[in-house]
Amino acid sequence: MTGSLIALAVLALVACGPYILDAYGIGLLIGAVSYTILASAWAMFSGPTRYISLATVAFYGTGAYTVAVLSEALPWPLVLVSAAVIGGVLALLVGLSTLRLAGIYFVIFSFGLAELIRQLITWFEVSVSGTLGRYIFLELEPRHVLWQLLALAAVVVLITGWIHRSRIGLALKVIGDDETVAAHAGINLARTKLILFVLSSVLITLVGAIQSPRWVYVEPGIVFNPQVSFLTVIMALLGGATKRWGPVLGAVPLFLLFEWLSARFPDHFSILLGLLFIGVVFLLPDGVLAAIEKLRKKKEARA
Amino acid sequence: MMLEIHEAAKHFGGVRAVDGLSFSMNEGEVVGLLGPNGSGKTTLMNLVSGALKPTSGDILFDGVAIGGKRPDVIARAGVARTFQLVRVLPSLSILENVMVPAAFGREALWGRAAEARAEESLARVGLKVSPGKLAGDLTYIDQKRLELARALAARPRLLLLDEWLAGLNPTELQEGIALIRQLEAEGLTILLVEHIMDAVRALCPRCVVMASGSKIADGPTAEVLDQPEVVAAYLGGIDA
Repeated sequence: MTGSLIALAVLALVACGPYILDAYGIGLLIGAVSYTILASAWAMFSGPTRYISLATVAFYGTGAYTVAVLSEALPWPLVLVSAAVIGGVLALLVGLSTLRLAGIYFVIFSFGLAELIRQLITWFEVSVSGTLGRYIFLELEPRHVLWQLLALAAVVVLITGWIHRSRIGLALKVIGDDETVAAHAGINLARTKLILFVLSSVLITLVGAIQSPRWVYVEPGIVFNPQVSFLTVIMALLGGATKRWGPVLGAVPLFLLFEWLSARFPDHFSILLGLLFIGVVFLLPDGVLAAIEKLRKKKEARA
Repeated sequence: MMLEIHEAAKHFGGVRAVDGLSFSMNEGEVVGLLGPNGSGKTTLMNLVSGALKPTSGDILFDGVAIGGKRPDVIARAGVARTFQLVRVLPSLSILENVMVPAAFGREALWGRAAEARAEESLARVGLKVSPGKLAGDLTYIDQKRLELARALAARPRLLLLDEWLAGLNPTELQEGIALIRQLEAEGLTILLVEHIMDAVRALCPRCVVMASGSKIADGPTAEVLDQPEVVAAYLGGIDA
């Protein structure tokens, strides 16, 4: 409860950013908040179930593309609702067909999904609508994007708080520990995973939709960039995907680090990213928070 | 009838782990399921609990067909089990472990009611450890107790115990037997797989004996254990 309140207070503070920061500063805030939501939403499903999903950009890109297609036909709030619905239906279909897959097969499928959607949209644009690439002309300034993202972040805080206190939160913890025991205790495995997958995917879709006006020009190759999926995973894992505040602790510093690296070493950025990924998985498999806890326990044991 | 098994079979490729087995249990009965290693006892337990789907045959719980249903559906119908290799939820507290079936079982208890049920179940199995402790830190006997408490928390009507007494020292074994006796006295229907003959004699008025997936004997424990087929099965005569 206090955790949620502190988080909401921080979000309110960040919302004042546009009054003191320049355009670059606001851009940084938008990126940091985006990735914080992406990592939190990713961990909402992948943390307890341990299904490593590389489908983040599939939903993120779907959100952005929905805006590109609908932004001139519908008022902005309805565009966002449409994006959420499309992301939710997509997640439902994907979840129903793939959540039976175990471990590595799910990882591969989720990676393929983004590629599949990208190719489908490319095919559709080229052969049906006749143009590849669309423009997004919306009267939304960066600060408006930031405020909408902060509102979404507040929703994420409230949802995770609710999950922690509710039956589904306990079900998730049990599933994370032992699926067989979960099923024999009366937990409907498929339904629980599906609810979480859809919820997490809708949030990711909304991030893509809300921050799409930043692009102005959109085409499948831009919005379905697999780097988004990888960054999300590494951020959530660095902070600790099973801890409530883990993804935030991973997302903010890593986003800033990536910004600095890509500006400083534009040619070697991918290599550095790969090294970081390997480092995180090898050195901190359960995240920073779990590592700190372990250290503390060791100290206590010695004392 | 609490449990009726008609011609249940489970084949893994060419292996017939359970091969057309039938028996039934009345409400309040405690039946021992015996047989040498690999005779299909655990597979049969898995068919009843829903961990495995039968290849053919019917399983009825209280008159309702449960064969091939999902384990969570069967659990909510009133069947609870323990596992051959003890399975606690290591990152949950002891209390949370036991709350789980209370929260997701038939009665769907939540909050204080679920906690109260968990505390009651823990008291029933005599687990006197701080309930906030993590289940993964418990000793082996206490993990076994915890698993039993968890099975009882849903107030099941049929309890499946898969070698719950295995690995206990003589004192713990006596405590374990007394505990199951008490559940028996309360009228719970129990099907138990067990290798410890003293425990079987003490707990089960009736036994079903399996060998190579089939039933070779069924009746009062003392008689069954004297049957030549049973003796031969245990000494390796039939299987070899």
